[in-house]
Amino acid sequence: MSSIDGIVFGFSVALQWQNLFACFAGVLIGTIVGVLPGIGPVGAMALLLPATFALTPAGALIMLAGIYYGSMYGGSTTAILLKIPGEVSSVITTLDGYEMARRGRAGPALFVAALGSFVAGTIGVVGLAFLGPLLSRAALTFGPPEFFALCLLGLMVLSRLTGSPLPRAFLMVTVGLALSTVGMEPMSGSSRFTFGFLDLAQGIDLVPVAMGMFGVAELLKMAEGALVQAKPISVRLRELLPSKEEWRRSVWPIGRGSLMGFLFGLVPGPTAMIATFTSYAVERKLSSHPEQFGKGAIEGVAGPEAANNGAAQGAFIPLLTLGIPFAPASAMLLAALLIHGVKTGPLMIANNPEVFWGVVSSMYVGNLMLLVLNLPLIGVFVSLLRLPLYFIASIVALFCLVGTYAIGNSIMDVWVLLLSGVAGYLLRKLRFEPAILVLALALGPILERSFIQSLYLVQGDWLQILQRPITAAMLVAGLAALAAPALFRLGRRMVAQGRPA
Amino acid sequence: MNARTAGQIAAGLFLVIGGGQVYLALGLPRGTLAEPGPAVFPLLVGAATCVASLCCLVLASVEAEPARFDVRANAPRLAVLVAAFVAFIALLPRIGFIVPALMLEMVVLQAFGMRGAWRRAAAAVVITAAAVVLFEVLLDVRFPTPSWSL
Repeated sequence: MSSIDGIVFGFSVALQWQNLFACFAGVLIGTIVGVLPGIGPVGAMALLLPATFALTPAGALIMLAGIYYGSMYGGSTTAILLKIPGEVSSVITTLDGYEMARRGRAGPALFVAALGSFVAGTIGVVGLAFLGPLLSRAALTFGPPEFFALCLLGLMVLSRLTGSPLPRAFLMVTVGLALSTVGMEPMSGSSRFTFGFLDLAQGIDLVPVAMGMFGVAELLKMAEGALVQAKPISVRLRELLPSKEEWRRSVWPIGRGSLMGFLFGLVPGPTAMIATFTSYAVERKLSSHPEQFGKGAIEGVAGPEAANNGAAQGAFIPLLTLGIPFAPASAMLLAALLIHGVKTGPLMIANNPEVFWGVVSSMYVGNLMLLVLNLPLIGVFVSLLRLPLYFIASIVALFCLVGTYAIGNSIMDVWVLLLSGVAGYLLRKLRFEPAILVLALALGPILERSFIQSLYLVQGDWLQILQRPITAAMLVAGLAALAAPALFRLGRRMVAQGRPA
Repeated sequence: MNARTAGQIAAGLFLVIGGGQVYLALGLPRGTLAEPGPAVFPLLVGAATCVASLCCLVLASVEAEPARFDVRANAPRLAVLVAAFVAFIALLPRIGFIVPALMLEMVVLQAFGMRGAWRRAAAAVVITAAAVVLFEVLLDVRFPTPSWSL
């Protein structure tokens, strides 16, 4: 099936009324989650996983994906109107978005943010449709050593990109992998580290850990704060349209941000956030009036907002084509696919075309829905910010607990949720990044299986693994990513020493 | 407690976890390099956890400016919340969903500053009812039936 045929087929799946409803529910919930403080898109995806049981695999993925990219739209609303980023990827939007709002230009800032997200979403869909099948075909030549190297590459790059010092990031990787070894060993099926608990035989499920680390831990963080009610700047529908000058200044930043975001999305880690910072730096560098940045420059909203949505779309590629999650949100989608019995990996497009193409096409439909939701209905979402914090907290608390129980009807999962929540709260206090742990937990079984299969394949001669060109290239790239900051520092010091005083 | 001590304690704890994993993995079949057993991967991961913990221990000890590790900010509120979660999970399999959910909601609403016991009770009933409708009626989730064997 060519990409064009695939997209047409995908629309026939995405436009079925059940999938349209799933898409609408996903983007609506995503926008609300993005606007409201507290749970975040990963927690929301985990929370709503049981709600997808009644849907087809394509419908489930369409809804969960909608939550993820919908939250990117919603996150900008609070960043612009309150100077509080709804999501971490909207942090940079607070700089110029809020300044625009203070000067009475909140409407154009919101409009450009939504339009930028829509354009990035559209470019992302095209990228997914054309790059996805290509990558998937290339990955068919991958054996266990290549998958092993790819997982290692992902974890190494991730360790570098989260901003944690390397030992702390590395420790989160190993702890996540250690948790993944609990339960049945993937090759022989023998039981490990269950301490006699029957519930642990299936391993530590990703969903309660993710929900604990992103939902319960966030709730505890909220409880630690001052419980101040937000007072957003109000905005009217007729004030939304940008001026001619604002239009002109937004076009190129949106284009550049969309492309940059999509490419960043292919890389493991918190790429949506990194893409926004890079886009902001690029726009400032290219601007003829860089002094306006931080004081309400519309380019500082347009570029980063396009970049974060572009990255959100790009992040689907490694999951949908290789079956490897490179971000916590992709890990949740992987969990959903596994629950629905879809075998992930390079053959997924061939074996489950309705899932891949349905999701890709639904993203376009979802982005259109988001444009409608986020512009005319912006006032409704702003009014959500006036919802008392105690309502949000109490709903999040109960739904985290019940949502976790609902997935496997297991009390053990709920205990895992609570322990993960407390651990996540303490880890953040200690400047560890729990997202790395969650991702390592998701990648652990794939890494172990491919590692053991590789050793079987080369009959224990592990040097043979390193002699395979793709494997070697991936491992070298991973090591380069680990060493890059130290090498840059060394280079800068050498340049500084060589310069005359 | 400053961040240095807290970091050292955390690294020490992870060192114990890594060491424990190595110790437990040694009790599993190791196989050979050509036919690895279930112990191989956990052994490697446990050893890596020990190395990373030691690095973190050193990092925590040499960090120039240890910030405060303040868990006392609103500690009672946090403790109450965690206790409410524990109570909910402990009671759920014994007395079913409704009562633990109402109790949890009352505690969370109070911890997050909702005034008035009757208002809290009303809100707790509404949120619990919404959860029952969503999970039990619409999603067909089967909550544990009360055994009344407290």
